[in-house]
This record gives sequence, C-alpha cells and structure tokens, in this order.
Amino acid sequence: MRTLAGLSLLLIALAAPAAVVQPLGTSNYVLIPAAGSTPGVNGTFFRSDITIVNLADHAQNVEWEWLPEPGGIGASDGILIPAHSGIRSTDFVKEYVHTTGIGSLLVMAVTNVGPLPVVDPTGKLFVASRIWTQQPGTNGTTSQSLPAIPVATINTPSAAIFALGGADDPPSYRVNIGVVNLDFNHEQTFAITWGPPLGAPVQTGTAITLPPGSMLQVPANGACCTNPITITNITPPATRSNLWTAYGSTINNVTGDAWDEIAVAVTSP
Amino acid sequence: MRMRALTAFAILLVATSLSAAVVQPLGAGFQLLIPAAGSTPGVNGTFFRSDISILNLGGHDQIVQLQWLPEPGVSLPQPVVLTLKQSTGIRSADFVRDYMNQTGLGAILITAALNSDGTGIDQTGRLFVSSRIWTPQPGTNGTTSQDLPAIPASQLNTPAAAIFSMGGADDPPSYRTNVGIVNLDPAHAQTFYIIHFVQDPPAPITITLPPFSMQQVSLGTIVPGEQIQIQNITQTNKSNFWTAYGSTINNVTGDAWDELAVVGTTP
Repeated sequence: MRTLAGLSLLLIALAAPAAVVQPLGTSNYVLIPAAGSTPGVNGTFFRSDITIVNLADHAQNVEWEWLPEPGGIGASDGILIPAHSGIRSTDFVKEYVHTTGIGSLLVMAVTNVGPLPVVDPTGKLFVASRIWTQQPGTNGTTSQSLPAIPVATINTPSAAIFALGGADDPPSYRVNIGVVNLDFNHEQTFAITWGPPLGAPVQTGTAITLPPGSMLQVPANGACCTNPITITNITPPATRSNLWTAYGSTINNVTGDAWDEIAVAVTSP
Repeated sequence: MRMRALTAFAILLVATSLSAAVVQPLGAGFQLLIPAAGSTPGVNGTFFRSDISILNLGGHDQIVQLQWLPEPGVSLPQPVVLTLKQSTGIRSADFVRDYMNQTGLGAILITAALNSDGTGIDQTGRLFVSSRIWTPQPGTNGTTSQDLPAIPASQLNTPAAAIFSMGGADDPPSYRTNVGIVNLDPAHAQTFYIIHFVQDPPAPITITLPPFSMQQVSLGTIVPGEQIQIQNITQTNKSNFWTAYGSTINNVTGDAWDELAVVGTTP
C-alpha cells in the first residue's frame, strides 16, 4: 500500500514533529503532555501508568503539578524517592495526584518542598508514561505511550504535526490534538488548522484559549495521513509566549489502538 | 486492578543506564535509525506491517538511501535509493514490502545521501521519519500497533544500556516482553548479554549479531519495573555503535508499547 507516493508539504509554519527524538534518559524537570483518570465511551476507563525513577546518587524530593483542562482545578503533591529507586502506579493520577479527568503533568526534582519549589539542578529523573484502558469485551488492554519532555527544551513559536490518521483505512480512525500552555501568567490562544489544500497558506483555523497552566484536547475530525496539522499561537504579542507544546493522537475506532506524535516548532508562521 | 504496582523498587546500579522515555523532540535528522520494522505474519492470524512516513523538510531535493538491517541468517540486501523532492514525502502502511522489497523483521537505516548512487552522507539533509508497527486485530475490524521513534544514528555511542518500565503493571502474567538489539557496526559482529535481574542468579541470554543486523528475543513475562540490562561482551573489535529497545505486548489484545535503551556507564 503506497498510500501517498508524493505529497506537497505546507511550508508555512514548517515545524518538525517529534517522531525523530534524541533519547536523553533523564531530566530534572519534565512535562507529560497528557495523563488522566477518566471514563471514556463504551465501558472504557483511561488511566495513566507512570513510572518515576530517581537515578541520582542521592535521595530526591520530587513534586508533580497537575495542569487541568480549562475550568478544572490544579493539584500538586510530592514524595521523597531514595537514591536509585522509584515509584510506579497504573493509576498515577488517582493514586498520586489525587484528582480525576484529563490533564498534563509536570514532574520536577526539587531542592525544597512547598508552594514555591526550586528545581534541583542535580536531579536525574527517569519518567515513563502511557495511558491505558481495559478493552471492552476482552480481558486485555489498549494503550498509547507518551514521552516525557524536558521543560527546558520547550520553546514553540508555532508547530505542526504530520503522519496522523490511519493510512490503512482513514475512516476507521479519529484524531485528537492536545495543546499545553505552560505559561503560568497569561492565557494563550491558538489556531488549529488541518487538512487540504496542501501547499496553501495556513488558514485561520479553530481557535482555542487556554488559561495559564492548563491543557486542552480537541478533535481534529478528518485529519489524516501526511497533511500537516498546524498550531499557531495567535495570542496578542504583548502576552504571547513560546512556553507551550502540542501533540496529536490517532485512535482506531474499533479497538482503541492509538499512537501519538509530539509537535515542536522551528520557524514562525 | 492492582494499583501502586510498585511503590518502591530497587534499581540495580550496575550499568546505571538511562531509558528513553525522556526524550527531546528533534524534528528531523540526516541519518536516522528505525530500530524495528517488519512485514511478517504473527500468531493467531496477525500480520505485522510498518506504517512509515519519510518527509524531506530540507531546502532542496534529497537523495535518500534506505538500508535494511535484517535478522541474523538473512543476507544484507542492497540499499534502496530514492529521491524526495523538496518539501515532499512518502508514506506507506506496508513500507517494508512496498519500498524496501523485504519481508520479515529488521531495522531500517535512513540516510540523506550526497550522491545519486546513495553513497555519502548529506549532513544538510533534514528528514522527518515516523514509524509504527501495526496489525489487524483478529476477530475485529480494527488494528493494534506500537509506535517507534526514529533516532539519530550519529548520536549512538552505547557502551552499555538498560531498560525500565517494561512489563504490564496491572496484570503482569497477561504481558510478554521482547528486547531488540541493532548492531550498526558495518564491519564487525557484536555479542551481547541480555540480563533481567529478578532472576537470581541472573541468567543472561547471549546473542551475536553480524555487522548491520538486528535481532529481537523474547524474555517472556517479566516483573514490572525490573531492570533489563544489555551488555556488549564482544572481545575483539568491540563497538559502541549499537542500540536496543524493549517492547511489552498484551497477550489478549496485542496492546503494546516500547522503550528505547540508551547509553549508561560501562559495567
């Protein structure tokens, strides 16, 4: 199936999706773009299986902060992890964050515990994350894994995502786009555009506004294959921030089979 | 459902390694490795294919060399060479069959090439690559899959490696785990130990990979969170030009996820 043998790519907001990654191993401050503990449709219940391992040679205070969807309530908590040990939970959001719903999670190694934690420059945290659910009608599961992204590497003037949608049978899949606003002082407004015409200027797109420190996932119905999905920050310049990121997620409508792609930016639109 | 599956587990210090769940999105590279790809039947009516996209994000047309790295026992094929126009790309839901003209399991080294015969490395090349392995799910009209990142080959320098967070924490016996190793040394075979440390004493699996090859081995059911360590025990012509990954699969649905292993310290 050579589904697309030669396709034009949109050059405006020529962004670079994260299918190409540099494995880093650890960081002292990472973002898990999407996590949750929330019921879905048809008997599903989505949970986050999250592992945090302290690979430093010293005990490490670790704090996490929940970035909710607009209208949701943030949460934070933490734990002391001994040197060279870790924690894992198959429902981390419920068990460790003590909340429900969908959101993003910041995980940081800190030098102090409290309302104004300071990131520990010597922290070496390994973090792994997947969202999973029991597959209705079976004794098995379905899931998608999400990378943890060092917050220090996030600097996004604009972004795009390629390679979403199911190339084998596009109508059998749906696509969601998630955007995370890591600016804790200003709301940010984004325009999301997808689909043809290829090579045409980016249109205005669907606008979403995210409060400071929040995330939102929206459907991108009909997005497929290698047509780029572009995310443009259209916040007024006075408060516009590059401290945001986005991801795309494709889900098979029958089985829940899913995969994701992180978008990052390289050029301004 | 077992929650807090492991609330505090010891991490073995030998070859303290760094798994690739923490990654920096790069977007593009000039020489990229897809650690596992395939076009091969599985059990129970499954058929695994690789859905791969390659896009040329560079400012010029790009010659691209695609080298299939087979499993041991399969001859190294000639590379495939193609040209991607500026800002265009290809995608196939069965890339290994359609573009590589191969079957079975292997790895793919994708190089932005300087010359029309595919030789030379164009370090100005900017290739975006995405990859997932998928199969129709037997008994349904749907699919199951796992996505694999593409990693810059030039960054590989692996004296030892380890993998965490494999195994299914919700119900360990329902999952199996595989480990794959890719030997990118073009001239020398490499021999590896694969050890998972819950075994006491550890009983390493030993595999030898010819130059430019890959192999995936089964560890069966493992204890969630146990460290899987990969050591290069080659005696002569030992190379650090290799990488490894782990993959956990649900035995009922085929739900799967993977983790890249990256450089740690020499044991």
